[in-house]
This record gives sequence, structure tokens and C-alpha cells, in this order.
Amino acid sequence: MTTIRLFGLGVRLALTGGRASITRMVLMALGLAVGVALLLGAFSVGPAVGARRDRDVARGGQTAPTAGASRDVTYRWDASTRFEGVSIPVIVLRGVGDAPVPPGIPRLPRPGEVFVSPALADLLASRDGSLLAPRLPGSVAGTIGEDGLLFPDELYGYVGAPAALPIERLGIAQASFSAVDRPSEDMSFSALLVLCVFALGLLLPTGLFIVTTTRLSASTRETRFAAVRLAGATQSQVRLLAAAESALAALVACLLAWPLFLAGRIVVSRFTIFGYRWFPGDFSPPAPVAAVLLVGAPLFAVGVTMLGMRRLVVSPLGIARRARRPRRASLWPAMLGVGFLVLVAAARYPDTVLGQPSPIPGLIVGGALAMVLAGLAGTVPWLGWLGARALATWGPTPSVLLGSRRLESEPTSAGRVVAGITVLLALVGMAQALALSALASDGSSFVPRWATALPPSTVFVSSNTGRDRTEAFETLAHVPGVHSVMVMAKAPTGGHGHPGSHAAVLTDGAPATLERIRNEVAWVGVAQTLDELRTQYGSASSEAIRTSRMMNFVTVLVLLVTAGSLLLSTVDGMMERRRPMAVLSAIGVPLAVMRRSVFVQIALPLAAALVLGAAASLGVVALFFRAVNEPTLFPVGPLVLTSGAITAMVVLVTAVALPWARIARRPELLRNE
Amino acid sequence: MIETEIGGNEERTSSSKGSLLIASDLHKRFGRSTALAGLSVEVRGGELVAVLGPSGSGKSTLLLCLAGIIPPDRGEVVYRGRTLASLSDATLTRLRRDEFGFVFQFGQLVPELTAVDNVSLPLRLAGLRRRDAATRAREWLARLDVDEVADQRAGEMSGGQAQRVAVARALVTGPRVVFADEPTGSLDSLNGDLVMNLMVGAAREQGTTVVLVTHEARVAAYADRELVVRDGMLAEPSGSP
Repeated sequence: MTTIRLFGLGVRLALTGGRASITRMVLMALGLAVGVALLLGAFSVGPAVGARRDRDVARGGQTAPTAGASRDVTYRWDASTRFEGVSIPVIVLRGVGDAPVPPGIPRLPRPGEVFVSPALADLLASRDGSLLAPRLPGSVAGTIGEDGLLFPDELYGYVGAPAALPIERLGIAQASFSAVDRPSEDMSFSALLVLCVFALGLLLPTGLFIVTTTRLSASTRETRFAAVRLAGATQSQVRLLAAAESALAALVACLLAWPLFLAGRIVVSRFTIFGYRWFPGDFSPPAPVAAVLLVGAPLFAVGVTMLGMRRLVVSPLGIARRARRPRRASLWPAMLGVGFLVLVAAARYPDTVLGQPSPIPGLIVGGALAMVLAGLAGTVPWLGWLGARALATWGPTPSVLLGSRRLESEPTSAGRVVAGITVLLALVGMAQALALSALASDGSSFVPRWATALPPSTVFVSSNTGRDRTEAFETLAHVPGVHSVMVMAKAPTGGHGHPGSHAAVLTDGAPATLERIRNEVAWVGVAQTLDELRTQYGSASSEAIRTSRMMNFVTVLVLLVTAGSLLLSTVDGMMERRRPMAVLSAIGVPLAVMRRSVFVQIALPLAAALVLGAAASLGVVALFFRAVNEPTLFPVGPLVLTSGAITAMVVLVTAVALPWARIARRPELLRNE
Repeated sequence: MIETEIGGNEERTSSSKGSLLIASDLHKRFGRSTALAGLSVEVRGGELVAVLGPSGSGKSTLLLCLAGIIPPDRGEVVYRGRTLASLSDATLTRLRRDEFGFVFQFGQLVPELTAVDNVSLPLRLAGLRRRDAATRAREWLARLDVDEVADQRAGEMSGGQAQRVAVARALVTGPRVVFADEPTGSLDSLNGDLVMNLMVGAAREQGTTVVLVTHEARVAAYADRELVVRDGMLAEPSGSP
């Protein structure tokens, strides 16, 4: 029989194999589709950041050269403001000659006209809008399109400069508005670590999830192949039949993956990720990557199936698996050790290792981290196996005996799932340590003590050009809710400016008072509360919070993927062992004992995963702080919290999976007729 | 024997005098196929009953109904005066663990457990300490001449050895009844005879009742009485013990 015909037979067998065969195929296809969609998403993060940056750069525009200035320029004046705690960029524009137009609007606003983002239009039309309207004088001539906004709900406005406003007040002359390539900046050790952590954190568990789905119902499928052997197929023909089934599922998965990815990015656009909102279209993987993923997934699934069958001896009388126990001298702990050694070297001799020209430091740090994480992923099943063997020998209760013996004989299914958990925990620790490091230089240090000593209801007003605005600031005393105004040269962010360029306004603390002050100083100055100053100038804190949020996002995503893997493998494991479970039920093993044994099979590797993941995380963190020569900050809180979340997830998933134990032990399976 | 709430203190001799198991008018369907169609049977204490019949006649279903593993759609099974259908799942589980033993044709041993683990499992479930249970399990393995595979897993034994380990597990708790479904179905005649001799010998020694499903006349010859099942009914009246 030719290979193609055999492949066709494999597909036909898969499709006509009854309900169980179809269910297995659907599950495998769904699992793979989710995995591929997640990978597409992971590879879209870079382009999303790039697309957003490009829009940001484009609307910022390119400044016209002062010497030999072009006559075709657009003057822009930054009149940004805050409203109810939210920043609203407001740009005043006036064109000269064939003036360039910012992206997202068809033309420059004329005097008395404004272009606003859809969200800002809604805000202006709302009940509170009247408090904001004085800062955007004019009628709304249109809304700003997506190419002129950073994210869907952004509050942004362009105002046509009043004719009376002298041109010298309109600060910067823009020659054009378009995205330009910015030279890539050398990445810091922290940024490099964050990038590696994020990429590996998302890709590794997703890869493990795909492997889990391709191994679904493996033994049922393998038993069927014995019957095919009996009908005259050779061992290699059986492998091809298996590959056909996996390839079919993977093809269906690829067809599902793209719509799933498109739906996913719509969902994602409704949430804040990494502290930012995104347009669905921002998440577009590079075409070659998408093609490789969509073509690679079936190949990967076929590869995993073939690899899974390499130890399987399919004979006409049945199947036998060549004994495979995790070796004593496993390669994985060695890989873990080598990875750590490289990181130790980088920490001890940072100038030598990290001082190399780009991209060598990236390769060294990323490679070592990859080795550590892959080593962790491989070491955990081995550790779980060691623990199970010890526990089985001791065997304190029947449930522990059943669970640990099962784990000892088949450590890989649970191992695959907990490997993802170990990696996740290690990554959480590393990322949160980076966040802690940044938080150590908290933004509050940028705000001088005299400012923090004033009542919390104080509003700090600063001239947006740095000029003396004493006259304008003193009028604030007449604003309802203002108690007094102190005009000064001291800047609330430290240092001194021109006399009269800053003011501290004591108010009744009402939000409306703050907005009235902002209306009064619109286009002249910026009014902020102490909290807003801290947030704005605490860039380190913001970065830390962003890193922390990013890791929270990765954690939630990976937890969901891991929960899916765990649920699939637990339920599949029980359904695959229906006959032994039915026998156990027949000989009087209570359901509770079986359930507890299932729990042991999950809990034991989980414990190994948590301990190893946390230890590796703390180890890498200690090395990181040594490398950057900072006092070590161990992320104990996040680690405990994540371990708790993982444990809760495992308990929840196990609770959801356990009802299958009752189905799996149904005694009808014991009938021979 | 490990005692349960069903007359645990009763003397075995007294129970063997009357009917231990009474099945009346058993009906059971699986989808559209009828497995049992009004079958009634009585099994007395200490006797060895062989249930014969062609494939698909309802033999295994009868055995599983008698053991309380699957409930009949209609009719009832009474074990030592109590209807199995009236017992809770927990009580039935304890009953199967403490008073019944099972030997199946395939898949009877838990594959990942060693022979000792498999045999000692019912004892441990009944509350025996690990060491005591293992000692008793090893004694039974020696008695059935498979002590050399005591620390091996099911997959590492031959079919005959695995079947003898299964017999040891069925008898280790000193059950009142052993249910055997084609216990020699996967063995050659030599190993089949060996298993039957050991099982019947041990059962007779303990006074254990054996209900044996088989389609082999050679195996049925070990029994005191033969029941022939055809199309879910008894094909001929059961003989007297």
C-alpha cells in the first residue's frame, strides 16, 4: 500500500472510529487550536508594541529645522490636562502653508474647531463634560480615527488655535507627521531578563499544553493499532496511520486557530494589558511566523505522535511499552546546573560577560535562562518519580499506595503539566524581583519634602512653558473651593524655576474644585494633586508596576493553560484506565480511595514543582541582584501568592475532574460478552 | 474472614447449610440487547457452581448481578437474607471487599502495583497494618506458588502467574463467595488446570462458595453443579448439589 493510501486509511479510521475516536480528535484539535492561537498571540506582542510605538511617534511628528525653516509647517502647543484623575492630551494646532496633518484627522482644525477621539466626544457629551469643555473651546468638527490614537478608549483632542493667539506662543513647528525608524537601543540586563522571562513564560507552558493534547487517549488509540497489525500492517505502517490521525486533528486545529486568535484579540482589546489598552489589529504576528506556526503545528503534532510511539511495540496480539523509567543520571538536572553556572559567572563577572558587544550578552543570559527553565521542566517529573517511588515503598494508606505506584510507573503525564507550573513559578519570582527592585527607588522620592508636608488637598500648578504666570495663578484665589494661593519658584517635583512659574493652591479637596482650577489655567499651566505628581514622576515605580502587571497577565494566562492541560490529562488518564478502575471498584475499593489516589498523583508532583520552582526563582533572583550590585530583595510575597493560586487552581481542577472517577469505574466494563 | 455488618459473626458451617445467594427473576438489558431475561438461581454455601453458556448468553452479567456490581433492571438478588439492591453503595463496597472475592479473565490486577501490593490491597482497605497485610499476602502468594514474582508488577508476570496472583487476591480476605469470570480464558490448558486446582483446592479448604463462569467443559468439571445459560435464561434446571 502506498504511503498516501495508507495516510488516507489512517484518516478514514480516525473518522469512522466511533464516538470515542471523534471525541478524541475534537479534543486534540481544540487543544492544538488553543495552543496555536496562544502562540500566535505571543508572537504578536512585539508587533503590537511596535505598532503602538509607531502611532505614538507619528502623531508626535518631526520637528522642523530652525535654520532655513520650511514655510509648510504645523505649529503645535501642548495644552494637555487631567480630568477626574485621567490624563487627556490636548494639542493646539495651527498650520502655515501646505501644513502637515497629524494622523487620524482629515485636515487641521480651524480656529473654533476641535477634533476629539470617540471616547473624549462621549465624555464631553456626558453630564461631567461641562467641567471639561472650557479646556477644549470650539465645536466638534469630527472624531479622530484609529491611526491617530494609541488605544480604543483613548481621550485625545486637537484644538484649532484661536486666531488671536500669537504665533510665538505656539511652541513647536512640525515639518511632518509620520512614523520613523528609531535606532534600537541597547537593552539593559533587567530589560533583557524581562523579555526572556516573558517569552519563555508564555511559550514553554503552551508547548507543553500542545504535547498534552497530542497524547490524549494514547493507550486507547494504541490498542486499536494492535488490531490493524493483526490485519497485516507492519510496525512502520501503524506509525503512519497514527501520524495521519494526528495530522488530521492538527489540520482542523489550524483552521480553528486563526479565527480563535482573531476572536481572542477582540477580547484582549477590552482589557488593560501591561498597563495599556490595545486595538485588536495591533496584535498581528509577522506573516512568516504565522505561516510557520500554521504549517508547523501539524508537523509538530505528527512528530510528537511518532516520538510517543517510539517505545511502543505494536504486535498483532497487543501492545507493549518498552520500560522507560526516568534515568538516575538524568540530563535535565545537569542542564539546570549548567544554566545556573553560567548565570553565576554572569553575576560574578558582570563586566566581562555582560560587557560584550550586542547580541552576545542577550544570547548568554537568554541561553542560560532557557537552560535553567528547560532543566527545571525536565527535572520536576524526575523528582516526582523519585518521591513517588519512596512513597510507594512506604505506602501509608491504600490511596497513597495506588497514587504513588501509578505515578512511579507513568510519571510523564503529570510531569508535563507540573513542568509548566515549575517554570511559571520560577518566572514569577524573577519578574517580581525586578519589579521590587524598581519599586525600591519609589517615585515619591522625586517629590520634595516641603510638598509632601502640605495638606493632601493642595493642588500644585506649574506653568507649561516655565514662564512667570503670577498673574494667571493669582486669579485662582477667586475659584470656588480655593482657600489660598502661594505663587513660588520652587517646583513641586524638586528644584527651582522662574519666580512665579509654580503655585501651591490650598483647596477644599473637592474634585470639582480641582477641575475648575484646571479650567482656569487651561493652556497656561498644569494642575496636579500630590498623588498625581508621585505617579507621573515615579517612572521607576510605573515601570515596576508595568512589569508586575505584565507578569500577572502571564501568570493568569499560563495558569489557564496549565489548568486546561491538567484537566485534560487528569480526565483522560482516568478514562484511559477505566478497566483497572472498574476492577478496583469490583474488589471493594471505595470511590473515596480512588479519588484520593488521583489527588496524590497530582499533589506529589505539584509539591515537587512548587519547591523546585521557588528555589530556582530565589537562586536566579539572588544572582540577578548580585549582577546589578544591589541589595537582594526576595519576592517572597509574590511567590507565596502564586503558589497559593497554583494550589487553588490544582484543587479546583481536581475537584472538577473527580466526578469522572465515578464514570470511569462503571462496572459494565467488566463484562466479557 | 473480615466481618461486615451482614451477619459477620455467623458460623460458616451454619451459613453453608442454606441458600447463600438467591437470585429471582433477573432482567437486564444493555441498550437493545437483552442480557438476562427472567433468570432465577440459588447458590448454597460452600458449593462450587459453574455457569456455562455460549458467548453473549448473559453469563458474565449474571455473575456481576449476583456480586452486586451491576443492579438488575428487574428482579432481586438476596445475599444471606438481605436484598443487595437495598444496600447503600458504601455497604456494597464493603461487602465486596470483605465477603466476596473476584477473579476475571483480563485486567484483573492493578497494572502498576506489585503482586504483594495487589494481594494486600483488600486487607489494607479493611484496616490491616501494612506489614501484617504484606505478610499475609506473601503467605498466599507462596501457597499459590507465585512467591517468586511477589515484588514484580503485573506487566512483568506471565499470564498464568498473574492469574494465580489474582486468585490469591480473591482468597486472601477469606471470603464467603468467590466470583470467577472465565478465570482460565486467557491461559493454556496446563496453566488453566494449575489455576483451577489451586483455586478450587483453596476454596474447598476454606469452605468458600465459588460461582464460576466458563465456556469450557473441562473447567466446569471442577464444579459441584452446572448451570447453562442461554439467551439470558437458564437452559435447563439446575441439578442438586
